[in-house]
Amino acid sequence: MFNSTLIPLMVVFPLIAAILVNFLHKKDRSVKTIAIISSIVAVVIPILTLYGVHLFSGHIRTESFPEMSKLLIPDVYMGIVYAYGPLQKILLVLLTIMTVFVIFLSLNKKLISGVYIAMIFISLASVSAIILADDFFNFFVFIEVLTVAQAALVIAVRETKSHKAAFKYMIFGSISGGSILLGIALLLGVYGLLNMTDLSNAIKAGGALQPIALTAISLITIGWLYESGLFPFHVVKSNMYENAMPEVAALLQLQSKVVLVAMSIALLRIFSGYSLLKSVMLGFAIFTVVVGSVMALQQTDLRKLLSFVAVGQAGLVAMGIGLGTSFSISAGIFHAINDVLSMAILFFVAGFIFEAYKTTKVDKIGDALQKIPLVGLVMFLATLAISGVPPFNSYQSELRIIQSAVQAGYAELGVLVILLSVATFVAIIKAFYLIFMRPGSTAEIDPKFKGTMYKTIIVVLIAMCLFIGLFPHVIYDPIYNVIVALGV
Amino acid sequence: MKTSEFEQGRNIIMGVALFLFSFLILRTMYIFSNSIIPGMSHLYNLYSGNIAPNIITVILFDFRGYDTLGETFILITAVITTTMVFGWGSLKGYKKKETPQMTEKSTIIQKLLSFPMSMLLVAFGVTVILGGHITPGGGFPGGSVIATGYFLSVVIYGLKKTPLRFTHKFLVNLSTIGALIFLLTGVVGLVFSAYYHGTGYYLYNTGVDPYQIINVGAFGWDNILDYPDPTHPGVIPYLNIGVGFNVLAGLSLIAMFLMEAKKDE
Repeated sequence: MFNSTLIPLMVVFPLIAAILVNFLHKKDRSVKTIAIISSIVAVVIPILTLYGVHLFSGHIRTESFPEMSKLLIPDVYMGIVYAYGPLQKILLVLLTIMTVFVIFLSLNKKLISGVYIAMIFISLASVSAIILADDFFNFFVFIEVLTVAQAALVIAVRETKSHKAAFKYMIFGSISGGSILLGIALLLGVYGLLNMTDLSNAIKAGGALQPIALTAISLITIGWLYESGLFPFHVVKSNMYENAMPEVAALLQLQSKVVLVAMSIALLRIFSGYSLLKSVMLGFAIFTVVVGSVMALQQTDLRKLLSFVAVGQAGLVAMGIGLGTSFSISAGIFHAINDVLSMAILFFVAGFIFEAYKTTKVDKIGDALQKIPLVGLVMFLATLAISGVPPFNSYQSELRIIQSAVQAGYAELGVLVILLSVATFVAIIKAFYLIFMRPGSTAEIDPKFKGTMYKTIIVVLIAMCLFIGLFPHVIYDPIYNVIVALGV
Repeated sequence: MKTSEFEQGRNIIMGVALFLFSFLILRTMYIFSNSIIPGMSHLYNLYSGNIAPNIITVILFDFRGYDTLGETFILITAVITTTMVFGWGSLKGYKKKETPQMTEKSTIIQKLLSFPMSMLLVAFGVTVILGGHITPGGGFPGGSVIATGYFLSVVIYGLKKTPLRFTHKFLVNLSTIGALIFLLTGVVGLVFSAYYHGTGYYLYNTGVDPYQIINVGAFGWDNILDYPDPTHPGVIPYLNIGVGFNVLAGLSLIAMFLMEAKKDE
């Protein structure tokens, strides 16, 4: 029973939950119950499901279609296909666990509505679909759903700045969505296929890329830059992180990085023979790393600072993928997972500080270590983790990225990675010092606020970081095997 | 360099980039028609006759049915986002506004004609939805036609006096029902094919059973999902109805929020 049958439920189940909580938007207790139960079930489904391929509507693969001129390759998938393997499993388990944490934190607040929780569920479902999809058009459809749902999560804060950020995000989203769609349409025109596996086979069978396919690649790459929040779009993305509630910002950066990984793998799989694509990815990644870390150093608001750090780290992930060897790609994906965890801790700490002090401006808060020592300790450890200090997880992945850069012949990129780690450490440790150790605070702590849920979750997450740092092979080896098997 | 000079330079770079990019796209479009391969479209045209007469609907709701589910959710998400802009479901709570008193601007002719016209539009929309599997149309166009009828009567008579009155709750319920029809029809396909075949297929057309993997009618109750129609299109009309409910409710909801917001300017 637990074969490929369960694969679509990873998307459909959160969608049903979203519809139900949206319907019961006012009834607090029922919304809470449904949200908690469904989010826990959403974690269980990817764990129970076996690896396999799901054919939607039961449409099978054609077997040796006779008219080659109309199809390029003899057998293709007729319907939409989802593929579920070890890499998808790791990403989905990470995604669902983090979403559970965010839902738990959000439900603890006053004035939370079912509509807001519904948007979290819809974004969960669409990122799951993006991870699973082996079909380019389905991939695009859920990217659109994700863009709108993320904008809704920011709009819900209901401040002028958040409305502005979401509006900008939607405008750029329409441009990038349009360019992805046009790219897919061009590919469908010249190869007649939408399935990624078939498309990759057809392109390999056809020899050199057609000039139209080159235009398609450039259009899809624009969409890739936007969805992952890389260089020209980094301001739009960091604006979104900064204006969302901090715990939702943790979710948004997670979703962006997962989409970055999923979309890069899709692009590399389809256009594996086209090496310029990797160079373009690498170039934009380097720009993002530099710009993200420099802008993070200038900020005086904790949320804004973390937003730019998150963007810079996304650049590091893209750099690993853009280097283009199996080793570097798996190191990049491994870094995405590590970075998502430690970045989430920092955003949750920002959320705690925002709830306790009603502000995250670092020059207003001080002396917090005496009042909230546990949060301070965890933030210090998370700062070490994100800057790549052993024994935490990012050390393992950054080391691998540097090694792969040197192996690929780009030793200077290794230096850039080290500089990024230093800049990240300086930026966050400055905020840590100002908030937790500097004497004299102008903002008062809310004496009623306990934040037990925040404390539990950040302790669990830092333990996860430590675990991955000590036993990196649990996560890294399956990723490496998948990437080698894909042969990108 | 002054800021203005800097901006000027940036504009020139942007202009050149835009020109080059548009040239690239237009050039691609120009040579595009010479290198089109039919591919999937040819396959779909070959096989969809087995399922329902209208090939476009078969592609939309059977071969690519799951994409259509995604598109429905784009609409749902967009509607919820729009209502969130007006404060519904936001983190600061939602205060129901007084329905604004419409100023009497409609002329007699408008008042006399718009009610029958909106009734006609609603009836036409229902036909378009129900005939989606045999004639051009389906849930998306039909739902929008009904929503147009609602919008017409609301614009002419105002939110309070309109003869075609939907409440907010009704529209939310309708949208929920529409989405659930689509989602659960898919689950039914999954469960039935898993029961008979071992491997489940989401959105499997249990009414038509194109691959003969389920034993339709073995229990008497398991072909309830075949739409009672001589063409036997299976679940496709039900999916059309679900999408129709959704589109009609979503667009009407946006119209309602826009009318309520009119007072604030």
